[in-house]
Formats: sequence, C-alpha cells, structure tokens
Amino acid sequence: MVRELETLDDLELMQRFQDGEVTAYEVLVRRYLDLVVRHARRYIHDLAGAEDVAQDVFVRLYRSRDRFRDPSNFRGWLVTITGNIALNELRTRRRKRWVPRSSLEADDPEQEWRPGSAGVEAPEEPTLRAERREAVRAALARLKDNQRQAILLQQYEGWDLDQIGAAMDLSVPAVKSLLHRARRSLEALLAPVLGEEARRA
Amino acid sequence: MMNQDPRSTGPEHLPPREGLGLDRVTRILAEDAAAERNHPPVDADRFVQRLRARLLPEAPPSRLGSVPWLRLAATAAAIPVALAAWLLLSQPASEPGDGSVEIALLEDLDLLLLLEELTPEEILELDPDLIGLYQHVEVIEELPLQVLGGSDS
Repeated sequence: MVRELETLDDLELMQRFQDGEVTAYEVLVRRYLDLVVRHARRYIHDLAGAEDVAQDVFVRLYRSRDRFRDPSNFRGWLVTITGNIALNELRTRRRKRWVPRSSLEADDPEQEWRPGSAGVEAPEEPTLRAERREAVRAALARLKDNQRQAILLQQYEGWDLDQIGAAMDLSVPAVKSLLHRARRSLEALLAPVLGEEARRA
Repeated sequence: MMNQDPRSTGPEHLPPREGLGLDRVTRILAEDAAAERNHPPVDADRFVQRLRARLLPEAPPSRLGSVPWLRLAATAAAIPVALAAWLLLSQPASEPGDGSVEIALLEDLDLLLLLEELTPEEILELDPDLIGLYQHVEVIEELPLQVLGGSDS
C-alpha cells in the first residue's frame, strides 16, 4: 500500500490526501522531511528548533489540505511556508532574547564544517571556517526575506530560475534581478569579515 | 582599429571594485552549502510518530463524516448504550451522595451531552437521587434552586 503510494507524484498524493487517505499525507511528509528541516536550519540553527518548525509546517499542510489550490507547486509551497514559520520563530526568539542552543551545546559549528577530504590542516583552519560560516549565516540573516529565499533556493537547493520563480510567484527576469541584488548585498556584508580573513592568511 | 588610451575612464579601466567580487560570494555560498550536507539526517519514524500524536485529536479527513445517514446511524447505535446506563443509574441501590461510579459511567458513555440537552422541567421529573449527581457534573446551572434544597428568591 505504502509502496504503491511512494511511486505517485506530489499531485496524485495530494489528491489522495484530499480524498481522505492519511497514508498519502505521511508519504508526502517522509518525502519532504529532509528538505523542510534543512531549509528551516538555515534560519533556526539548532536541529531541535528546526524540527519544531518542520512539525508546524506539516501540521499546517494537514489542516489546510482542503484549501490547497495548486498541488502542482507543492515543493514551492512547502519551502515558502517553512521560511515564513521559521522567520516567525526567529522573531519570537528575539523578542524573548532566546539564546541559541547551538552556541551552548550541540550543533558544534566545527562539526558542521568538517571537510569531505582528509587533508592536513593548519591548526587555525577549523576556527577560520567556523568564523566564516558564522559570517555567512549572519549575512544571510540580514538579507531581505525575498532575497534570502531566492539565494537559498538557488545556491543551497540547486533550483533553477524557473523553479524559484514558480515557488515565489515571480517571473524569471524578476528572479534574476533578485539574485543579483542578493549577491551584491552579501558582497557588502561579507567584505569586512572576509577581508580580515584574507589579511590573516 | 583605434588603440585604446590606457588612461581611458571606461568601465574596463576602472580600478578593481573594492570588496569580494560576486564570483567569490558565489564560491563562498557553494562552500557553505557543501558543508551543510554533513548534517545528520532526521529520524523520519520518530518525526512522523510525533506528528501523529499532534494530529490525533483532530478528526481524520474522512469523506464518510459528511454523509448524513452515516451520522444518523452512529447516533442510533449510541441510544441503547445510553438507555442501559440510564437504567443502571436509576436503581434504588445507589447511595445518595456517592456518585463517583455513576459519574465515571456518565463520562464514559458520553451521557453528559444528552443531559445538557434536557430542560430544567425535564430534569425535575427524573429520579431525585440523581439530582446530587447532576450537581457533581455541573449540568444543572439552570435548575430551580428549590430542587437543590435552597430558596428561590
């Protein structure tokens, strides 16, 4: 039963779910769980918080199944909702002066930066990478919401311009323009940090 | 073909733009995205279990629930159960003031919902032993005070 459902595309699964087949919903959840959590972690850096956001995303999907108008753009809808919920969570945390768990215990940034190749590193290399990662995160966080979403989908998810346009309800030229402005902003935001890094090197 | 003046102020002769360059930004983002792939995968089974627990109280999206005759049939099936409970509670053996068992039964059988629909007059016609029980379950807010042993001013 589940195996048969796994062969269906998103559109067919959504239709089955809208007809009351909860198993189809669970197949969709498993299919997109990694994408949603990954996307949420770009906003909420601790895994537990990102999973909470993912829970809210899939609960939203469950509750709004009957109002879901365009199942063909299911993936785009998911990342948009994920971004919105994650941003809300971030704002709530800022209001409450929440201290990110990643800075206290789990989610060691050095761990995340572990290189794929087993090359020999200078002792300061992991620190440099961790600093750079923090700088990239901080810069991404300061982008406008639509610029951030476009750059994340292109650079981190590998989506093409058409896919990003469909997800964000924009024309391809508008997406190009958005991406260009996002890069310009990132260039300005990262310049001081990476300039310093280059000087040290 | 004209030789270009090295002192030309065209864009190709401007000093390199200060900053990182867009190519470098793209490269940095690509490195960051590659590092992200080292994140451990989410435990999908645990995640779905948690999701089920959150969604359990909500009605499943069943089309059957919208068919009126099915809902009628479900209501009809509940009536004998409610009647049996009613008879049980009306037995004279029940101790006044000790309504804990009856309350549990009422809750289990969802009789509270039925009782809520009775008017105060209808409640007055019921077994007086049950009135104390009704007080426990707070379904008689509108019951005349004299029935409860107070004065109706």
